[in-house]
Amino acid sequence: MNSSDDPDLPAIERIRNGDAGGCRVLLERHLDRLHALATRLLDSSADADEVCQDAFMRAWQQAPKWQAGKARFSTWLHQVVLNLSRDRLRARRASLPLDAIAEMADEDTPEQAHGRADRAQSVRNGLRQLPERQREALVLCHFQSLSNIEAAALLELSVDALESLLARARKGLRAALDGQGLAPGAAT
Amino acid sequence: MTTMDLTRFSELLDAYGADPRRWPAAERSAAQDLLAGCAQALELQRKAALLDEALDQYLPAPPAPALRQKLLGAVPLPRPGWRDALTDFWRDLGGWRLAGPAFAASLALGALLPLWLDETAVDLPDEDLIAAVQLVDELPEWNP
Repeated sequence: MNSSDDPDLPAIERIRNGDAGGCRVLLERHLDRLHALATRLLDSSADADEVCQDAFMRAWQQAPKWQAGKARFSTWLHQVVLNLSRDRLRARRASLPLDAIAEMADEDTPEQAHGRADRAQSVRNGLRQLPERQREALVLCHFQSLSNIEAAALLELSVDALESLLARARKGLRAALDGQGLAPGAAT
Repeated sequence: MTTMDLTRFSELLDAYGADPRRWPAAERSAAQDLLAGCAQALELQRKAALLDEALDQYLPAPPAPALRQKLLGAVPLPRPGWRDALTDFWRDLGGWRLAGPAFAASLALGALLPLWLDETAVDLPDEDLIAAVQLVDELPEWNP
């Protein structure tokens, strides 16, 4: 993980100089990706909205005092979203009975449900059923395309432990899809 | 150059899937070398790709434009320090554009003012003042 060539540094420098354009650049570059991360971790786009709002408020405060060289700004943003998502999941578990948690994913409108492929919905269901750490590992490596070293650092794991989590996550998902008659490779 | 066996290649696929871009950078090259010359490796990769394809179909909806606007509206820009405030004040006054003429005007004023004062503002002692001084001089203490 080399932070000296962090592509966000020019935008951060603009923010440090009081230029709001720097914030716009960071937002354009990261909002969609981080929102997708939070949505996949929380299975709720409404919760992802709130997580992103908190994360970017922190980013605006952090950017002027950001010190290059320790980590990439985007890695730090991933860490913030990951931590905020974990907090939300913990709060859900504390306040809701288990069966309610399983039901609390966003409800699709009839139009969305109609347009959404069965396979996508099954993957979503499969992700929801994975243990939290496995889901985090898979989302970071597969969907966010972080390197194994970056993902292991975010999850505070060794690369070997990350690899083991990933293998279990993919195996679990494959089994979930098989169980729904949507084995990978079947007709899409 | 390191080589990779089929067992390790299979572990790689189990963890990271079929796309070489997701493979660990340190092992990518060896894995691709194996892939280039091994039909069994290719078959394993093909199977792993099926799960990748299924995963890739789950695309969450992007955030609403209102969220973007809300976040941009909440940008707290740093308050200017005293140096910035001084710079702003200087700029409001006209900056260097006015500094030259102002300096020339103050030089001219400095040169002309003494000449004008010589002619008009030198106040000579009048007769009453001279008389008062003379009276004081006539006091007995001064004439023992």
